[in-house]
Amino acid sequence: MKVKTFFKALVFVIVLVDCMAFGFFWRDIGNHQGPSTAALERLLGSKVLSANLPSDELFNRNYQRILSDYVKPVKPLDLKYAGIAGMVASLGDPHTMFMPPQEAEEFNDETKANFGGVGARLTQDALGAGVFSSFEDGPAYAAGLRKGNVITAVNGANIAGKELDAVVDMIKGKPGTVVHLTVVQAGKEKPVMISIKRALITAPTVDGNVIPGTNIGYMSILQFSEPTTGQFDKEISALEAKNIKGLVIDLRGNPGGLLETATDMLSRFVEDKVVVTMKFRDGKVETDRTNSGELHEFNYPIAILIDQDSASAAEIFSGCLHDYGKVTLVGTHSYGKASVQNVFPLVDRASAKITIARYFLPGGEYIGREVDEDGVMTKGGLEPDVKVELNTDKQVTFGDPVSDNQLAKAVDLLKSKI
Amino acid sequence: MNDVQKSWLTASGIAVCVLGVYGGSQLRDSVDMRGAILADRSSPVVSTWVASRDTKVEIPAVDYYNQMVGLLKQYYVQPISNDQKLAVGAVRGMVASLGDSQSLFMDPTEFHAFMNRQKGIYEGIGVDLYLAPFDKKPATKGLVPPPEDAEEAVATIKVPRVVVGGVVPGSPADKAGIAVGDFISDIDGHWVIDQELIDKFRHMQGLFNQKKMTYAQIEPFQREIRSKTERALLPIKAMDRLLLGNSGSVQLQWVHGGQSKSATVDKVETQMPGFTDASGVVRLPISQTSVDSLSSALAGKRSVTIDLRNSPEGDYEAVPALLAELAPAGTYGSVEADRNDFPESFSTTKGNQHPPELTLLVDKSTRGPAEILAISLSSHGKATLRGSLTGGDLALKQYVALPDGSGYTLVTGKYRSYPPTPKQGAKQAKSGANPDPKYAFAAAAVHGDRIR
Repeated sequence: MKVKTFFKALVFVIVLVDCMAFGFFWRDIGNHQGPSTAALERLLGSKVLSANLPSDELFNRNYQRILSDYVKPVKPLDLKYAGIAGMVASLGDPHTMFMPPQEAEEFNDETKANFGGVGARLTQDALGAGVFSSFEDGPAYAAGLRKGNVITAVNGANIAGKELDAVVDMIKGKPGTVVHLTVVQAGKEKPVMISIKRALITAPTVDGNVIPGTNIGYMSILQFSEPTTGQFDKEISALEAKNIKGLVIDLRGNPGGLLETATDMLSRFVEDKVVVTMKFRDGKVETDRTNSGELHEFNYPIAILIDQDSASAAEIFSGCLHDYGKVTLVGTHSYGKASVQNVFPLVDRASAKITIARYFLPGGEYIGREVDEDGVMTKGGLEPDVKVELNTDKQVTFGDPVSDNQLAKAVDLLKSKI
Repeated sequence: MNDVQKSWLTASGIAVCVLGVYGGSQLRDSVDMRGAILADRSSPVVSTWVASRDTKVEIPAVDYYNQMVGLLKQYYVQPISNDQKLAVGAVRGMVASLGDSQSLFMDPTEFHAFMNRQKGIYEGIGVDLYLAPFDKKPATKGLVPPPEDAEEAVATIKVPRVVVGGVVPGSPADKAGIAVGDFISDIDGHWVIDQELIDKFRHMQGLFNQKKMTYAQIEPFQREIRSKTERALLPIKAMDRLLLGNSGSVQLQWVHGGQSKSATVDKVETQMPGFTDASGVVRLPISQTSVDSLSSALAGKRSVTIDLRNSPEGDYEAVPALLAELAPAGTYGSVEADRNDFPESFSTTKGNQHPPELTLLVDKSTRGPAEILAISLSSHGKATLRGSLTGGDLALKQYVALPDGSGYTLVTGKYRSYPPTPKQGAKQAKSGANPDPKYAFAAAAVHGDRIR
């Protein structure tokens, strides 16, 4: 009888321990991992379980060694962040990265669509900064700043010889505050002072015109941000009002942006069709489809220009339209970014950007970039239907078919289809 | 056992299982929660963790590391099976963040070849290479990881040069005429990034932006730079191509005394001459195994010449033992480290009370441990130097091996020929207020030929 009770108790204990172990390791199983020995070691406070040095111990020993032995003093916080960044980088995915606090904040600012400014795009100029364009609905335009003007001073400080980025930083600022620009305008003898009240600027991302001497429209899309869909629709109407018979959409250098925007814009071309299929690590598959009832009739041929800097949403947009037979791709192969990232904010204001899914185009192709040891791309990206390298022997002005041979090729192609 | 009892037993069994699973997962929560880093508490990783985002939050490095590993394991698109690889990646990141061209991380193949070179066995074309910083600013600062691709490197940092520190006699490199002090400019049509050229181009771009140069003027140069950057090699990659492998050949361009040279150079295993004692000249590799041989080579001699040329690498830990064979016990300088206020003394406890009169043969291929040995002897009047200026590498290094076969070098201090003095004193010496033995040595080395 006693033996029986003992066995009963033994079975009870074994079942309980097994169940607890199952509960303990459920997280790993749910994550498609083997049981975490590190967690067990942390629980037991010992390192006896694995013959090899546990990963965190390996990290820690070298962390301590560098802190104590390196010839120069090293800030522990910097070393910790460098280690974490290196660990994340070891996955070999250029889009999965650790951002220490300062970098994380800069990244945050960048991804915000809006910023406080005057509403102008600037270029380098010998005297200071040239005005490349002045947004028609921006405060700078309202105050009289025009394309071709040259800004020579900001708030009285001379800016000749300054880096363009530094000048832009001086001009940007909190909405509602005022910046004083000294501006040289053609036809005026003396520089004028223009005071501009900064506002929240939504930078135009779409620009278009009819190519001189043709009936072909040209539209460049700089990125896929929130207001891009509206700007795209507006520009299409404007070009169609001028009776275009063909359209070149320029996505060269477009780094992508919001998938949602690309999907909305694709809904003008195809209805209720797959945009991308996303595959997550747990095997979950999500598809993104175009909306219904938003079709627009494009009764003219369209060519899209792509290059090695067209990435992400730009590749989805052009790849989808290509797969659905709506456009001809002209240029060079695209970047090849076929993954979705999530940014995880951390308690110390740092953040981790982690690739959480891969996406596949409607034709099922995976365009993820692969590079050789020199960083030269070996695989991935979209292959254009008509391959043309940009000829940079002369200075290229994008959008001008005389100096921009990729555009010239696209225009010729469309002419042959009209 | 009746049915009621049976169902009670089943029910309690199930309850125990459920409680067990729940208890286990709670336990795991508490384990994973120690030092949780995720700010968003809705995440399942830290379901019960409440945190405000604050830069002052300082989570211990190991906890931070474990948390990040957990985060990656939960969300990264691919399963992560190799934890060791993550840790090694972290070490690589930490070493790279030092921005020091002498503290270098090496992958398993690189580290294996590196450790072999310490023993005199060379792969590749038969040279020893080192990175000479282009200027005195650190190559990278703080947290910036080393650039992954050449284009980024060109845009952001000062790229060090790949310089020849030693040539194995009779090796393919030697036969091709590659000499110590030359630097590598092109390997198999890949440009080895040259900061001087980049700076020159940036200067021209500046002039163009200021409209002091026309596009036609800078255009050919721009095209050259662009075509070079398309197939460029970062210094470490360039070193790999010359230091790894025992078959095939490389098409090499290098600069010798301002002149560009080129040749096809084979890769074969070669060996630096080991310890030899021929007609009164001792060739002394800096290794533990040299110690006994040296002892017998010195026995009964009144004067000995020791050849320390072509000693670009070696074992730092062997230096004190060799010193003990060559000179009486004593202090032979100090080891300075910026992290310490007081340099450590560089001294021997054992020694040779009656060493023979020593003449050391040195030149710019006398680097690292061999150079430290030469200076510690000559600056304390225990040996005469003959030859030319030494390589100028007085850093002391640790070689750290990691479990996956990779490893790194870590600079731990700088050898100084003067005895330990508090930092303040050392600073005065540097500014020239006190003449100091280090400079006396430097002069002697420069005019090495004259002090025979």
